[in-house]
Amino acid sequence: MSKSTTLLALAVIAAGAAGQANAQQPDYPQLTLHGYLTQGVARSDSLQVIGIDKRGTTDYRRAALLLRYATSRNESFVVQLAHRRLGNSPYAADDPDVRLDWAYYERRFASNTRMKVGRSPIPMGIYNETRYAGNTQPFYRAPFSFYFEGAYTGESIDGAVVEQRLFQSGSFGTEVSAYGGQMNLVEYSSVPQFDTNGQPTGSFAFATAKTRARNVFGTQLWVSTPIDGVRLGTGTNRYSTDAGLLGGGETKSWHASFDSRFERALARAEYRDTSMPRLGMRAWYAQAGANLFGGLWLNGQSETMTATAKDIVISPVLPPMTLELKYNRDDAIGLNYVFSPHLVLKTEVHHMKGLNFEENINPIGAPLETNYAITSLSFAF
Amino acid sequence: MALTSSPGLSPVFQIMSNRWFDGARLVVAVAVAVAITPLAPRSAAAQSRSFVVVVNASNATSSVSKGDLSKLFTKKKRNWPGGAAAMPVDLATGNPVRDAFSVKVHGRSTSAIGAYWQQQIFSGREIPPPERRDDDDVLAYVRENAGGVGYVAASAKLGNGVKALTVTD
Repeated sequence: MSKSTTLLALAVIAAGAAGQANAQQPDYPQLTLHGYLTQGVARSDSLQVIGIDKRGTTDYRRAALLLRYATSRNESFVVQLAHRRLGNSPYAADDPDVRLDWAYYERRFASNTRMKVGRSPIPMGIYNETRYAGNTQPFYRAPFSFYFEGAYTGESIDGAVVEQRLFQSGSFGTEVSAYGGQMNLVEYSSVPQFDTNGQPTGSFAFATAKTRARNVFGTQLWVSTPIDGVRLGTGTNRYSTDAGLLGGGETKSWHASFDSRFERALARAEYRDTSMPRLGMRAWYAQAGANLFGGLWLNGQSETMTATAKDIVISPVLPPMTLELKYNRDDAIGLNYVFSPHLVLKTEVHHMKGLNFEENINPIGAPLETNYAITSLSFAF
Repeated sequence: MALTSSPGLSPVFQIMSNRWFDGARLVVAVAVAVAITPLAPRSAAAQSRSFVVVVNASNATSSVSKGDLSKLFTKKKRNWPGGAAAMPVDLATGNPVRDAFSVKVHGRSTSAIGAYWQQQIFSGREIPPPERRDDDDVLAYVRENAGGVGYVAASAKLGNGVKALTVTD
């Protein structure tokens, strides 16, 4: 039996047990089961964007089963099994059908402290912990320039996460998190090509590489404001990688977040600055959404990433260069119909400009443009 | 760098691209207009159904602020002032008493609170309070759990083992 099939079989057995447990009185131990599925159909009009090409694809999906076994009010064991498909994208080319997203032990302490040990979601920004739960997102995915898709941003950490809540009785409730351990990353880049003599040919190929980030340490701070629904956040992290597409070394980043969510509107913005030995990235985005009537929402988003790439070999006749790149600009508009918090239908159109395509692109060439659209249905229970 | 269009841009998308900023301005204007429109009560009928908050009779707490009550039901606060564990219980989604409680105490509709819980569940942080079908089931839950807190229709007969909790602004 394959590993994916084994994981799925265990999930089905646990689901049956959870159904029985949920029907009983809420004494402990208690087993609960939740899950979601987002199925999309997508097409671009020219270039390939995160697995979406001119031919279109329905192999665009994210699903998960989340099991929580609480032995008491203060102790839980959590497992999440997940499935992801990204069309033709190299990011997900080696993804198994079912993978272990999370597996951690959680302990709460009376002092508003919570600790997770194992593989758990990284508390970073507004969307990292819920990035694939489509019914919680205004668009199909969290803004790529900030959150990537498993690239440069670990989605979960193998280690420990500690969270402390402070000043919960006042108007400035605060939540501080810290995490440490190791995580998996996917690096991607336009890689210069070399001939058999080791000389650069002047052409480039889009490449991805899985790597392991070590000595990961990060923090996240959220502060609520007296305006209900509005909070501000910031965080930092650092990690080390062995030589990869970008030569390895230490990476540091920091980010700032603004999050406002009201009954009929939302407005969010985040900024992130990342520095590696040979690459610096700056990304920001802004989102706004309004409930027009009933369950119909209109959402808009603009995201941008710029990069500074050092020691890039462009041509055999030129010395290594430092490039300032307007790497990505993605403007999107979308309509969502929220049948319920558990069922959301989305359709969105994006206009993308820059170099962030899954194509063999010359980084010093003119930025390219494409449009792409995604229609998706998200269900959760 | 000068911007160039992709040679593969189809006529339909070219039109969309050319009118992009016009459309974006309209979207922003509509979004701002809707966002500043005051929230009208989602259901006037729900608003008119009053409720009473109930706790276990052994609970020393006799009153709670609306803000603290909201935090108990969203699990941002997990304990009563004396330190005992709080065990909130909701009425089932769709119950008009729940709708009234949600607007009055949380300041949000039941649907908006549902969206909050989806965020909590799928970030691995929390799960929502249990739901009970009707007033009798809520009263039974609160009666059986020393830290229990729920809400029922104002006309419900509380019986032994539970008491009403005063909610202050």
